[in-house]
Amino acid sequence: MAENVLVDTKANTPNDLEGLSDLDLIAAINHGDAGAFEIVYFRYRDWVVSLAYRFTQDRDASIDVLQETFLYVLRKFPGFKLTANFKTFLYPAVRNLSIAARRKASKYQASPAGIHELESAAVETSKPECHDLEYLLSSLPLEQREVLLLRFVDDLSLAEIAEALAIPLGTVKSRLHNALSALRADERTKKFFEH
Amino acid sequence: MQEPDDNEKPPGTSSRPVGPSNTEFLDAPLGFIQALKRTQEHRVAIPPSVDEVILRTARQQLKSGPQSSKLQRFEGLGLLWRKLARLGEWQPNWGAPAAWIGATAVIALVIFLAVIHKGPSQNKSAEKAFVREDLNHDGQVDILDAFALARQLRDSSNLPQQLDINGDGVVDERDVEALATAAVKLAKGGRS
Repeated sequence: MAENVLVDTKANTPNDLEGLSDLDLIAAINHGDAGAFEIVYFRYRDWVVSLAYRFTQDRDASIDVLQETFLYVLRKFPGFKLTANFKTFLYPAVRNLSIAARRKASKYQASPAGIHELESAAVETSKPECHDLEYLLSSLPLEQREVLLLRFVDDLSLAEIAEALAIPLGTVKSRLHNALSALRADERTKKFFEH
Repeated sequence: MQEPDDNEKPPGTSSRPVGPSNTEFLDAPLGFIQALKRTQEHRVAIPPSVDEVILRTARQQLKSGPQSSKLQRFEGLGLLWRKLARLGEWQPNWGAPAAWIGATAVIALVIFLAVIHKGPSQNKSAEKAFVREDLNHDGQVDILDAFALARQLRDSSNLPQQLDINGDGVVDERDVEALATAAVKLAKGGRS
C-alpha cells in the first residue's frame, strides 16, 4: 500500500511530505528520501526525548538517548517495515537505551535487580513532595506505572502497549486496572475520579 | 483480542459510565489525564547541533546506503544461513550431513573473503590515524564521537586544540561536521 505512494522521492521537499502518514514516510525513506526521515524525526523527536527523560531524569542523557534512538532507526533502512504504531516500535528502543545511559552514567554494574532499582529511581528523584499525583505515581509498582503512562500520557491503545512491552493484552489490562484502583482509592487522588 | 470500545479510542473519551464490572474501569476522567500529563511535562531543550548531526547522518547514510557496515555483514550472514537451512530443509540434528557440510563451507568461504577484503594493513593505518577522533574512547571512530564533541561544545567554550578536527585553528561546529562526515566515510569504507 505505502510502497505505491512515492515512487520518485527525489523531488520531495519536507513541505510536500508533512501531511503523509508514518507508513508513507517510511516507504519514502526506504527509497532513500532524507526529507521523509526529517519529517519522521521532527514528528517524534520531542516524544522520544521526553520519554528518555522519564527514564533517566537527566537532560544530557535524554539527548544522548535521542541521538542513539534515531541512529538505531536509521540502521533499519532500507528494508524497514512498519507493522504497528511508530511509538510502539520506538518505545522499547528508548527504554533500553535509557537504562543503558543511566547505567553508564552511574557506573552501575548490570544486574536484573539493579536495572529495576534504576527504573524505580526515575520517578522518585523528581521531587515527589511537590505533587500528590507525582508522589503516588512513584509509589506504584514500576510495571503499573509504565502501563498507566503509556496509556494516558503517550496515548497508546491497550493493544499497542501490549506490543511495545511484549506482554499479553490481559496483563496490560490487569496492570492498568490495578494502577487506577490504587489511585481511585487514595485520598489524595480520588478527587480526580469523583463526578 | 481487540476491544475496540476501549482500545482504539483516545483515553478519557469513553461514553459509557464508569463501573467496576466492565472494561470502562480501564478508562479515566479527562481531568485525571490532564493532571497526569502535567506530571510528565519536562522541557528538554534540544540543541540545533543535535538535530543537524542526526539529519546530516541520515542524509549521508540514505544517500550511500549502509551496506558496508559490520552490522549489515552479520545480518547478511544470518540471512544466508537461514536460506541455506530452508533450501536443505535443515533440521537441528545430524541426519542431513550434505546440507550441514555445505552450509559450513559457504560460511567459511564468506568469512575468508571478508577477512581478505578487509585487509589488515589498511585497518592498522586507519586505527592509528583516528585515535584523536575517538572522543568517547570506545575504540571506534563513529557518529557517537561527533555527538560527544557536540556535547562538549555545548557545555564548554574552552576546548583543547587537539579537538580541532578540521585543522582550521578553531574548535567549533565545523569540527563536529567534519567528524560526522569522517565517521560516515569510515563506515562506508568498511571500518565500522
